Amino acid sequence: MALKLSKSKAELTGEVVVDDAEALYQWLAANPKGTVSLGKLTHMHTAVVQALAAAPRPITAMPADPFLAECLRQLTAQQQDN
Amino acid sequence: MSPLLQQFITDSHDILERMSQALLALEKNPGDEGVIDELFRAVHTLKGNSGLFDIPTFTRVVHAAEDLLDKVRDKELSIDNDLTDELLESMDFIQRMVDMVEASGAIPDDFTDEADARIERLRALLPESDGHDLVFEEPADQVQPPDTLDWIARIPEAERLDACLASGGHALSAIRYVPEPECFFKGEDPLLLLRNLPGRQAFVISPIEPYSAQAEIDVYRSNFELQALSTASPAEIRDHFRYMPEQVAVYAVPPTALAIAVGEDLSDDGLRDDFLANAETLLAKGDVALLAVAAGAVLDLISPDLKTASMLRFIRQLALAGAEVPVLSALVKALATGEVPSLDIADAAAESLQDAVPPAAPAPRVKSAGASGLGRNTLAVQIVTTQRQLLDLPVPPDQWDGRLLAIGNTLRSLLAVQGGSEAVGALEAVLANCAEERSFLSLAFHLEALLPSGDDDIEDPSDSGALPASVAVAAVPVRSDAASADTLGDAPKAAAEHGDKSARVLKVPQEKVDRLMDLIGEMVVAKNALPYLATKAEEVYGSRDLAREIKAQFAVINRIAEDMQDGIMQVRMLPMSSVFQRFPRLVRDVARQLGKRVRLVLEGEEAEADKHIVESLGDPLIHILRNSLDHGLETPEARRAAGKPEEGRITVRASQEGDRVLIEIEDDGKGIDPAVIKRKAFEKGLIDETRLESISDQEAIQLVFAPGFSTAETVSNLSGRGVGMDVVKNSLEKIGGQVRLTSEKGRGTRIALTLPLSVAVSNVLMVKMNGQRFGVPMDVVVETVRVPRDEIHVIKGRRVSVLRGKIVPLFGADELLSLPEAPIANAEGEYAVLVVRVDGATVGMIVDGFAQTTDVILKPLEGPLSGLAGFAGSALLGDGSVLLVLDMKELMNGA
Amino acid sequence: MKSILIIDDASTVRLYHRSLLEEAGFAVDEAINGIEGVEKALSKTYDLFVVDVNMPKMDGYAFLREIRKRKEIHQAPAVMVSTEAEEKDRQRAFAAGANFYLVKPTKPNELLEVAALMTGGHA
Repeated sequence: MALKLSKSKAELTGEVVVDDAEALYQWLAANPKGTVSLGKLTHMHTAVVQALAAAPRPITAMPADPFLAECLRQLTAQQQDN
Repeated sequence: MSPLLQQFITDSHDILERMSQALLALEKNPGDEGVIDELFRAVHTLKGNSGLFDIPTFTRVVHAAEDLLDKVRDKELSIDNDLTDELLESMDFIQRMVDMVEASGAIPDDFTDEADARIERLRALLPESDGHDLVFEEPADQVQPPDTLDWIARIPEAERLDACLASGGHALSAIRYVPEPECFFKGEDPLLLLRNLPGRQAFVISPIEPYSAQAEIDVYRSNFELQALSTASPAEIRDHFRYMPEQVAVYAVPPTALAIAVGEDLSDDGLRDDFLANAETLLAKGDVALLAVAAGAVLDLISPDLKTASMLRFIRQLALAGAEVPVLSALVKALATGEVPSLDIADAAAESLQDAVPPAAPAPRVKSAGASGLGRNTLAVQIVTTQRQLLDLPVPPDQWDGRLLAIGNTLRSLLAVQGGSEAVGALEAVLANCAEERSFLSLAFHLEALLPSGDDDIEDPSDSGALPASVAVAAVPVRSDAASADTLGDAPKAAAEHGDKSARVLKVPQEKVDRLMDLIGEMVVAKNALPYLATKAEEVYGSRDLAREIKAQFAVINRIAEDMQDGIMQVRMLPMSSVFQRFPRLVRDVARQLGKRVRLVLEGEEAEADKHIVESLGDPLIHILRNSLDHGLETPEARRAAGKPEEGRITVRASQEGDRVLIEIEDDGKGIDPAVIKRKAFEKGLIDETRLESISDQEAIQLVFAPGFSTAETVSNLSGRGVGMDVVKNSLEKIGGQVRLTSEKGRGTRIALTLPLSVAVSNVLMVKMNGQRFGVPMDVVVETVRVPRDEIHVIKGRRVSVLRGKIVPLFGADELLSLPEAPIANAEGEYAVLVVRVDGATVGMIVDGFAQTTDVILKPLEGPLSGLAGFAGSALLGDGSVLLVLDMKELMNGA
Repeated sequence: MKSILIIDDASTVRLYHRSLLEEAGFAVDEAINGIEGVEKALSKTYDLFVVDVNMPKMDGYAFLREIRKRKEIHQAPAVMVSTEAEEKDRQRAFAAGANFYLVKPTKPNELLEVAALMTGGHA
């Protein structure tokens, strides 16, 4: 439920646990043009963040939670540096 | 408590009991393998059992003990007295932990440090087989603090400002958490741990290896390094990471490290310079609030994108947060020089400095004993500068002591060569202070004062303490941003601005002042011999003229001596701030530990009193503050429930009233409940039933001063012995102070102390008893009378007499002082009675006779005599003999 | 007499430093790597450590960290000597517990003066 993957979009809601990280990563690798929506995200496991960091995609909605938003902001900034 | 935990506690008690018996048996019979085995198995069981509960600290300590016993079992270590002692001590320690678990179900956060120390001690006893098996505490994976604080620059300014505000102007804790790559498989979620970090402020997450550089990415392999700032204490943080201590480094960061100014370097139309001039004055006065306002005013006028504006925001934020003057000075200095602040002197790249070295200044004038010359020795200055920079680097807690010692040893050796014994003495005092406060701050300041600051000293050589600027030398930069030539131009100017513009000041070592005071004291006493001599000249040698001349000259000397006395007392005056400055930190730490929110307001820190008085105030005031924090102020929830603001307030206010200093400590806590006091006093047998009924609320509150009284339910480890107000009252009275307590239940408590401004010369009356002389302070003496034998009556076994219409109890000085012989009457059968007034009661002491009054400087009894009750101290007399001065109150209380 | 411990894996460097310092009147001991250095420091009190960076088994940084942690070792000042002159290497040395940093090859006067200042007088 927490991870909803469609053709063009990955939507993460509520708490996304460690087990979902691999699935997300596979999807990201297979969908280079896909976008990621995090608007309803309340927490994600570090592995999930790694998946996002490893395969950057445009984020269409940022999470409301300030901690998560800051994590993502830092990761995207680093990706820009890279 | 769960039955399982209960079982564990019972078992642990048994095991520890068995272990201590086994250890003692083993000491007598070191080779007994059966006992050794039993010992090992007991510890092993204890360790295993503890693993069932969330008490990793406990398990680690027991584990260390087990390792030791394992070596004994393998015959690699022999049981000797030292080992047995250590193991017995460790078992006491483990017992304490069991008690803690029994009391609260867990081991408190702040206990971890003690536990670690205990583990180190146990590990230190492990045998070293051959060199290569030296047990190194640092497994390759213990995460170290970062080498520099550059990561902080990656935090956006807004968040750094927030962190400044949260810091309250104090140092923050910082962490560097490098989760091990396989940690996800252990069920760890580093991000969650970071999210829940207590007191979390800003954080920085960075990949260890850039993702783009990796061909194959395994999302289940942790590749992050997490760094964060927190307002929590290191102990709390270590507890948070208690399951992976080797993956986290915790260290301290000064708030100045957050103030990295970012922005454009354009002109600010001289507003910055105006601010700097203003700031100088404000900081000298300690007016932090106005400084914030001044900064705000400039911020309104200049573009927010300027670098100046950025730094001003930090200055303002930290001023509002309650930072202290030294922190703000460092930032203002940074604003002036354009350099990165960190309590650092102006750094500049080696090259630009070498070009700009000012012409050699004339040899330093010895301005005061305190300013030692590092002289023109560039290498010496480089070494000292380096030590100064070392103080700013992050340091892992287990290296803190080593670092301070190494830096101290370096400086000591260097100053012994370059500075002389006074410089070394001054350094020792500062190092001791650092060790006690667990902070490098005072050493940093000391070094700043020692190092040359600029070439303006040539113009004003009597400037306070700074050395002549013969060398502004190749100071090696801590940060590698190359400074431009501009900063160098600013540095001497900044130094001039910070130069002391007030009256010429000398820095004089304390010993010299004390020595002078002793000499003046001796003079004051010695001069008193002259009236004797005058009398002797007249009566023994029959020379009245000589007597008159001696008396005349005595009058002159007397006046001068009294002026000198006054003068040295002025020198010894210290402002209250020297004792107040410990309070903010203390209040913050204790409030934190207690989970209470407290605001400390200090007023009147400039009020001055004699050094001895000010220094003696430290402990009593700290006890009072702790009592307030412990028992007075409520938790935020309780306060909310009572309709009070969640943040409690403690105000410490000092002011001068005539020839006394008044200090008030006031809190808005729950006050003292007279009913509770009455009950406690009754329970402790301090009052009986009738008194319990009759005593008024106001009187009841004063019972807290009664000896042996303490309302603490448990002796909290914060207030130590649950120090009662009676001890505080005594210490204050010893220095001539008085205490008054008022309290209103539910509203708060107010304690008012009055103290003499200076340690005065005491006027004492000498009395004779059993061939000895004793002094009695004149301020308790009412009169001296001769009482005929038949006017001394015995009522209920006690002697009394009627003096001036009142019944006065009498005590023989022999009773009070445990002297062998009773008082002797004179030829007319009269007894000499010294009538004194103590605690509002008039009492008489029967002595053999009276001698004259004299002025003395009272010195407290020291060393083995200091425990003697009944004596206020001793004094040196004009004839060189020592007079014991009585404390009539203590004597009477003991009677 | 003040004593100095030189920790360096290169025998020529040890010889060079030793002769310089002994002539100036210091008592000099040698260790060939960090482990030996710690052992020696545990058994004797030194007034100064002169530490090389790159050594097998235990390098200079690890040696310093170890020394600074142990309360049973006298915390004498430590001078790190290295071929690298970069700021980051200095920082690393200081972070590990060094009190000063010299670049190899050391000028004779420099080492002597540093040793004298940091041990409290010409030996």
